[in-house]
Formats: sequence, structure tokens, C-alpha cells
Amino acid sequence: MQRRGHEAPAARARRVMIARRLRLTGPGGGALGATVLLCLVVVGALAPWLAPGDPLDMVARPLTAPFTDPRFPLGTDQLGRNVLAGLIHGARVSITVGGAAAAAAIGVGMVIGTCAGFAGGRLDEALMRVTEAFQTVPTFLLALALVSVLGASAANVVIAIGLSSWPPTARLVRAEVLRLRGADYVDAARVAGRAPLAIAFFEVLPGALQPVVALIGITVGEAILVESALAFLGLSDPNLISWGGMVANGRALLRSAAYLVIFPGIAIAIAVLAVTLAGDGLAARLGLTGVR
Amino acid sequence: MTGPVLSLRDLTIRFAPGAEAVRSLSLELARGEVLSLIGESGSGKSATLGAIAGLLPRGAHVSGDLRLAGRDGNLLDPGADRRGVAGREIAMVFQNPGGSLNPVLTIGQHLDEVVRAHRGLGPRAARAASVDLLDRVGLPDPAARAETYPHQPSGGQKQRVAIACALAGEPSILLADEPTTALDATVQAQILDLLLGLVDERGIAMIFVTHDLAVAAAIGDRIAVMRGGRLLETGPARETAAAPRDPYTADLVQAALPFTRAGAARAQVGSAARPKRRDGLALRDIQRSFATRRGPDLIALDGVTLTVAPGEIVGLIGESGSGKTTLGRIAVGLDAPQAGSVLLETQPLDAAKPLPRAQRAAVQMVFQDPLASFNPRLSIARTLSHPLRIHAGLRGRAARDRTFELLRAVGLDPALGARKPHQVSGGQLQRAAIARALAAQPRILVCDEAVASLDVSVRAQVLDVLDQLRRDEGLGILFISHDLGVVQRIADRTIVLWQGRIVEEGPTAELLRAPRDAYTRRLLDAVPEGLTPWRQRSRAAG
Amino acid sequence: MSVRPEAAPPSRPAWWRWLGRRVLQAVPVLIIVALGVFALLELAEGDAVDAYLAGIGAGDATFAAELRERYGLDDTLGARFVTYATRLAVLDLGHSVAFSRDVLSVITERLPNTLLMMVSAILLSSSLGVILGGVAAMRRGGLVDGAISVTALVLNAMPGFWLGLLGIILFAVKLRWLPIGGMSTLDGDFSATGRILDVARHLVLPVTTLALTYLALYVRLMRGAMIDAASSGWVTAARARGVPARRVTLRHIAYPALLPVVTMIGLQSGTLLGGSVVIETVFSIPGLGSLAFEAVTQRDLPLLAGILLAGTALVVVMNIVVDLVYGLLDPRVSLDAKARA
Repeated sequence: MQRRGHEAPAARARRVMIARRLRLTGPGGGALGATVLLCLVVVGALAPWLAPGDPLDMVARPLTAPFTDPRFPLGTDQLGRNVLAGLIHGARVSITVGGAAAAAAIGVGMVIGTCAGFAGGRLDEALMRVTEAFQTVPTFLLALALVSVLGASAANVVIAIGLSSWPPTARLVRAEVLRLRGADYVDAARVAGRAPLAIAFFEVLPGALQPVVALIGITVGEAILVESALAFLGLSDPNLISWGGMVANGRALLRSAAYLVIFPGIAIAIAVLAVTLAGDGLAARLGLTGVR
Repeated sequence: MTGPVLSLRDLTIRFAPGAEAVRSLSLELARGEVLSLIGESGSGKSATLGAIAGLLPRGAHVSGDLRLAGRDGNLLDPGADRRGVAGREIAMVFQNPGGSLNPVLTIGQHLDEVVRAHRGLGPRAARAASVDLLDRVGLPDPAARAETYPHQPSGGQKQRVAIACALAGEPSILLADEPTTALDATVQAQILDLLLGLVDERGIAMIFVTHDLAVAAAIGDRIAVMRGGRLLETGPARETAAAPRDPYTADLVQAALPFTRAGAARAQVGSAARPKRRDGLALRDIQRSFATRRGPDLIALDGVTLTVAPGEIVGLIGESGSGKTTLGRIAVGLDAPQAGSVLLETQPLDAAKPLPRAQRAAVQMVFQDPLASFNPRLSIARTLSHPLRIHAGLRGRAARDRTFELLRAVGLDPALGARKPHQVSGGQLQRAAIARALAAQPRILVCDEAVASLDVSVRAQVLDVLDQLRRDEGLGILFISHDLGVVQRIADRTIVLWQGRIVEEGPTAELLRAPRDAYTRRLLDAVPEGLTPWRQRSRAAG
Repeated sequence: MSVRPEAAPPSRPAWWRWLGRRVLQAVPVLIIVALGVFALLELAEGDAVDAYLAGIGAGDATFAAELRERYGLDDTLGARFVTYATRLAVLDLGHSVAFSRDVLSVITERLPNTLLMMVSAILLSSSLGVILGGVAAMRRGGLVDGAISVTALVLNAMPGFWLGLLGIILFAVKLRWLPIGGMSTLDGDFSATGRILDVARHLVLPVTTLALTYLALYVRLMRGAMIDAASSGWVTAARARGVPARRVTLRHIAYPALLPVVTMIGLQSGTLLGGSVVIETVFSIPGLGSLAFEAVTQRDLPLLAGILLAGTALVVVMNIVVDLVYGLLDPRVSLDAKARA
């Protein structure tokens, strides 16, 4: 009875957000998101066949307006590069980098959250201070600083985003581990004589890691957004075309050729939306979210 | 007496098409009358109250005819004018007193808004009325209390505040939905006194919903028994409880185990001839305190010594905060005492270190909430397989056979083993929990409020299983409970724990018949005894 | 409306003690961040001197060595750390190569602009989120609810820089209602109020952009918290007591639902500050965010390190303010040192 203290305000806010989270959209949202996401993945995977050649090559007269030339339905930029080809190849970068970065963030978060939750005491205290520190440093500033120090390559962007966005996962996992460690069924397993490691891995961890699924969609979406912002600022692999970079490129012609900014932005928004909805649908299927 | 203050005809409630929560229920309530509405979970008693109060969720389909004295029209009509009914004609008191108060408003603000809504007073006059109400429900220093927030007072005081809120509109009907279930026995007695006092003083009619037959019979003028959405019978409270016409009510009365001092002898009939005397579990001078965040440590147990012999059932009673749960956890090694020792057959169990398997197996536990005590992801048989493998060394086929045997021993169909915990009923799961404890072949079983979360009719089955185990296998049981009726039924010896100390112990029958300690007497006085009307008791006590 | 009674008004010394404790709590975080920043600086290939020499286009090895010695750059790792830590302790953030000035002075010069933008964006985002989330919750399942939720979701999926550029295209280029960027009109000749209005005009687009991209969070949180509160026992109880519906909505549903929103403002302030980097760059606002971008493009590591530290400190301060507000709103958290078990 005395073991459980008052719930901290921050924990309560997070619980409202995640643990007893309401669905983002109705039942159709998840399917729609998953379908669009699947399309994006297929387009990205088939990019070399859908739009052969290097999308960074000049293929036509510069600044062909969109919807005028059937060979370049979305027009060309100031260097005569095919915008549609850029978008198709950009899908690859956004989705792989976003996915890999989110996987890194969630992986780091799960390991740290699990360690903190099980270790307790000093190690828990230390890990939570580190988590707090990472959460306090403005996320994007950290990613920016990491990329600028490590150098602008796709791998480094993944590392930078992963390192700057793991704290929410870590906190969630730790809180779940702590909650389940005190659960009656874990006590029952102790009384039944299960070994501490068996309890940790078979009784507590599966339950503690499950809610992380609800974070996947949001984390991948965030990662895609951070990647595009880094690319927009010119901090991405210069040899790869990316949506954020295309927006930055079009920015100079904002007055005359706004479509160079608009199309890649729409692509980013659709990708993020699809990922978020698909993640929400997945969480709902697993029964992690309630009704809307 | 004029006509009824409330009359309800043919109430039918559907939450989903085809599934009727309440079926054509009719009842009447006379002025100043207390009607006890009794039933187990799912009987539709709360839905009935919700329909009367107009609090059912929007999706619920309600039909029937509800009329209040001095008011025209059927309140259950879809377009019925319910203005001025809530709080003014009909007020309600809920089960969880903490939950019915908004944590960010002061107690005074809760009362002010009701007083102002119903009496049209200005802020100052409203506050004066609020303080007066708090005084009337017996809160000490009401003016200062009004300034505090709901998280500060105790559960009993919160319920007093909730009652004050209900009285603020001067209603003629009070709906009480299990208002004392979440409270300790002594506090429950005070709240019942308060409610009955108010009813008598102001002529308020009350519908008192409860699952506790003893309380229902003690406080009600009339009693109404519900099951599966139907009203089975209604009649004068004591007569109905003493001689029920309906077979289900009879079962309920049989199973309800109301505590009676005279009936104490009945419990002893079942007690087995003790098997040959062996040492069982002994707890010596247990000290346990918990660090609070600031301020002095909270002392949970202060020098507690007790023994449980094989074949003996020891009842441990106490109210919340008495330390009984901590004691149970220490007995099975889930918690370690700061001083004192836990001995099993005179061998010390060092609770601070991991126990040797054999010793850990010897003391097993059954938890209060069966659903929480099973891993939701594993089947029941799978959960049972762990102690079988670890303590009995059984695997594969042998383990499966033994699982079937254990489930049968607690009266379950072995096929239930394949199910997940949420797929079986609470009573079945609690019996499976006993089977799990037995899988380790224990000599001592600690039951922490093991029947508290079960319906009365299921309770008896679980208690029977425990009694049988004690008799057949010579199992020693430490039975932790707050329910005197249950302890009286099952325990050979009873220990009373109060604020971390044992205040009294002795053979159950003797202890309940002639308590020596002042606290034990207070505890016994607080519980409705047999079918004695509560008003008589309170007059005798006060 | 009755006067809000002060159940346990924190006395002045208790208040200071609370603040002191709260600041102390932030110390380990700041130390960890400082360590992290040091590690980052060490990780960098080349140092400030290389960047400086590359910047001025000169490459004299002896000059480089001289500079390194002056800034203590060729000591051992331990010695470098001691130098770093002692200088940090007296708020010496080093020398900005790009600006040829003290890092701290560059940062303090830019800080007010960012602060103004951030605080406005937070207030706009959270208040708009509270209102929209509240409306959505009250109309749960309806058309309005759906529209609000979908809008918030879509806004959340848009990159901030893109939304900002769309705003520029529409409101600055096409409609010419608002300035394209900057913090104020350079050659403007204004009175005092005129200058304030001018800055406000310049801030409309960036603040709105920043607020809209983080709106979804508050909408979702407020909506969820309201639905949570609406199903609570005290709301049923208040209805049963005959409390008027409007009052139930405001005091029993919306007020408790505000608490998690306030908490989220604190948790979110770091992300928002990060988001200001792109927004300030898009709108050419001379703030901390665009400074960070300049520091990156000019490889001015001491400046970047200083910004990281300053940004962290800013977030810490914001969190303390948020905690304070929370303590005032939620009676269960007492700023007084009294313990309640």
C-alpha cells in the first residue's frame, strides 16, 4: 500500500498521451495509412526502374512548369532536373533514414528504459538523469550539432536523430517496467519460485515493451520530419536527393516557381501522415489504444 | 402517510440491442422509507439507480414509467423535463468517496456550487450554508475544512463531504450506491449512523444499494433482491432475510455469512480434529517500517508474533493500514522485516536473502484480485506449469496430468486450463490461483483477502475449497481478511491487528463472543450483527 | 464566483526554498549536458583554429600553433576538460570565430528575439490547442471533432519550414499582407507603439507557423484529458447534485484537463526551441536558432557549443516556470515543503 507514491505530474501527462491513449482517427485511418505507406515503400524500392537514371542529372529545359510536359508531369527545376524523379528517389531516402533513425531511437530507449527500470537505485537514478539531460537539450539543436560534427552522411543523420529522440521511449519503458514489477502476477511468479531473470524476461519485459508499439508511428514520423529539416538546412548526404533538400533548392525561386517548394513538401506531409496513421492503426489492433 | 414519493413501473434498460440490463422492474418508495436494494455484480442494481437519477450514458435505451410525488409527468419519457430533479428532488451518494470529488476544487467549492444552484444564494450566504452542512454531517471544524482539498481528509470524511453535497439541495429522495463498501468497518458504521440519522430527522426516503446482505437487512425497512436484471422479491427487510421465499435469495442468505455472535458456534462445527502437532510457520517479533518521502517513517508492523500450525486456519483481521497485508508479504518472503524472524518448522527463513527453493515452496500465497495475480498473456495451465517445474520437478506429460489433478482438486474443469485469465470468471480464477499455490506442495498458505473481490455466492465455494484442503492435506492457512463473517466461518483462531500490533488473539468463537480488547469491541460493534435492526444497535451503542 | 481560498498559501521562505530545491534539481542535468557538449567538441575533426584559418584564408603553421596555445587546445584531454569546466563555471563560453566576439555576448544579443517568438508560439499553440481540443471533446464523434482532429494531424505532419514557406508564398508574396521575413523593418521610422506593431507584424507568420506545427499535440492532449475527466466519478456526482451543465463542463471537466496540458508545455519546450532553428532560418529572424545554423555553416564550434548550453539552460528555466504554474493550479502539489504520504 505504501509502496506506490503519488504519480508525478509529468507521468500523468504522459499516461494520458500514451498509456491510455485515445485513437488518433477512426478505424479507417490505420488502413489508409498502411496502404499509403506501402505505396511509398514500393515506389522507393522501385525507384531505379520507375525513374531510371540519376535524379540529380539535368534532363530537360530548366523550369518546365508542371502539368505541361507529359514526360515531366511535375515539371523541372532551375537545373532542368525532373521533379517527379526527385520525389520518387527522395521517398527512398526519407523512408529508410526515417525508419532507421526511429529504430535506433526506439532501440536505445528500450535498452536504457529496461536497464533503469530493473536496476533501480543508483544506476536508475543516473540513467534517468542522463535521459532528462537528453530530453532537456532541444532535440533539433542536438541533431544539428551531431550532424555538423560527425559530417553530413546518411548514416550520421540516422545516428544524430537516433541519439536525440530516444528519451520518450526510455521513460515509457522504465515506467512500465516499474509498474509491472510491482504487479500481483509478478509477485505471484516470485512466490511460485521463478528465477529473477526469468521473471524479468518472461513476465515483465513482454508487457513493458508492448506499449512501445504505440510510439512507433509517432517516432518514425518525427524522424522523417527531422531528416527533412536537416536536409532543408543542407545537412544531408550531398550525393542523395531528399525531399527536404528539394524544398531548400526551390526556396530561391519562391516567387516565380512555387511548385518547386510545394510538391516535395506535400510528399513529406503525406509520408509523415501515412506513418503516423499506420502506427496508430497497429497500436489499435494490438489493443493498446482505446476508442476514439 | 400519503402516496409514495417515488414510483417506478416496468423499468427496462438496454445498453446494447437484445441485451437487457434491467427487465420490467417496478418498485415504490414511501416517504422516509429505507429500501435496501441487494444483488451481486451484474444484477442491474446500479443501472436501476442510474435510470432513476438520469445518469445513464447516452447510448442506453430506457423505457418505463417513473413518477415523483408532487411532479407531473413520466421522468423516463425521452423528452421529459428533468430540471430541478437532480440534487433537488433526488440526490445521490456514490461508492468511491474520493472519486466523486473533483481534486482541484476545495470542499467548500463543491458545496457552494450545489447550494447556489438549488437555493439561489450569493457567494457569502452560500458559503455559510456550506459550512452549516459540513457541520451537520459531523465534520469537525467545518469552516476550516471547507478550505481544504478533497485529497486531504480520510475516506470516511470524504464520504461525509459527499453526503453533505447530496443534502445541499434538500432532496426528498437519496440514492446511495454502495456508499460504505470502500470503507473500513468502523468507518462504515459511522456513515450508516449518519445516513440513518439524516433519513429519520428529515424524512428523506433512501434507496440503499449494496451487495452486503447483512448491511441491507440491518438498515432497510424493506429489502428488494435483484438478479440478472430482474427483481426477485421484495418485502420487509428482516422477515425477507430470515425467511426468503425465492430460492436465489435463500442461497444468498446462506452464502452471505453474516456475522453473528450467537452463531459463532456454527463455525466450530466444521473445524477439523487437529492432525498430529507439528510446528508450522512462526513469525517472531516482526518489525517493519516504510520510509516516507519526508517526515517520520511509517511503522507498518511493530513486534508482531504469530504462528500457524499445519491443519490450522488462522484468521488475521484488521482494517486498512493495520499492517495485515505487509505481514502476509513477509510470511511468503515478498517483503523483508527490519527485525524479527520468520521460521518454518523452527528453521529460520532469512527473508533478506533468496530463499532455498524448498522453503520458498513451503509457504505459498493467494492474492486478493485473481485477475491481477495471473499474467494476462499466459494461459492458466502455463502459469501453473512454473511452480510444477520449479518445485515439483514435473515437466511435459507429468506436469499436464498434475495440472489437471490440481484443477479438479479445486473444483474446476481441467479444460479451463487452456484459457487465458480474462476468459474465466473471478471465482474460477481464484480457484485456479489456489491450484497454482498448491502446485508448489506448500505446507502453509497465506490468503490475502482472497475472497474480498468475489461475489458472495462464489465466496462460499472458494472458502469450501480452502476448508477441504486444510482437512485433507493438513494445510495451515493464514487467512487475512477485513470481513468478520468470513473469518468467523473459516478460522479456528483469530488474531486482531491494529496499527501494526496484535491487540487480541484467541479461538475465533471465544474472541467474537467475548472480545477483551477495546478496539476489538469497537470493530465488532461496527459490523451489522445478524438481523438486528441497525437503528436499535445505534441506539444501544450511542 | 467564490474567492479561491488559499488552503496552504506557501509562505515566502518556503517559496524560496522550493525554488532553490528546484534549481538544485536542474544542476545534474546541466552538468551532464556540459559533459556531452565537451565530448561533442572533442569529437569534431579539426578545431576552431582550423576553421578560423580556413575562414580568413591563411594557413601559417606557426600562427596556428600560437593560436592553439593561446586557447589551450594542445593540452592533454584532462587538462582541456579542466580548462573547459573552469571557464564554463564563470560563464565564459569562449570566442566565436565567425563573429570574432565573445560567444556569450553574441548569444545574449540574439536570445530576446527567440524568447519572444518561443513564448508567443507556446502561448498561441497551447491556448488554441486547449480551445480546439475542448471543442472536439465536447462534440466527440461528431463532424466538428473529426474536422479538428484531422486538421491537427495534417498540420502535425507538415514540416515547419515548408508551412512557413507556404505562408510566405500566400501572405507575403501573393497577398502582400505581411513582411517576408526579418524581425523589424530596417529603415522604418516609427514611434514606440509603431515599433511594437512592426515587430508584431513581422512575428505573425513565424509564430503562427511554429504554433501550428505543434498544435496537434495540445489538441490531442486536451481532448483526451477532457474525455478522461468527463468519465470521472466527480462529473457524474456533480450532475447528480444538479450542478448546471455549463459549470460541470468548465470546472469539473476542463479545469482538471488543463493540468496535463501545462505539464506538456514544459516537456515540449525543448522540441519547440529546436523547431525554431528552421523557422528562424526561413524567416531570417536574428535569433538563437538562426545563429545555430550560422554556427554550423561557418563551422564555428565554440558558438554551436554555447548555443547548445544556452538552449538547455533556457529549457530548464521554462520547465521551472511551468512547474511553478502547475503548483499553483494543482492543490495536490504543494510548493510548501510539507510532506503528505
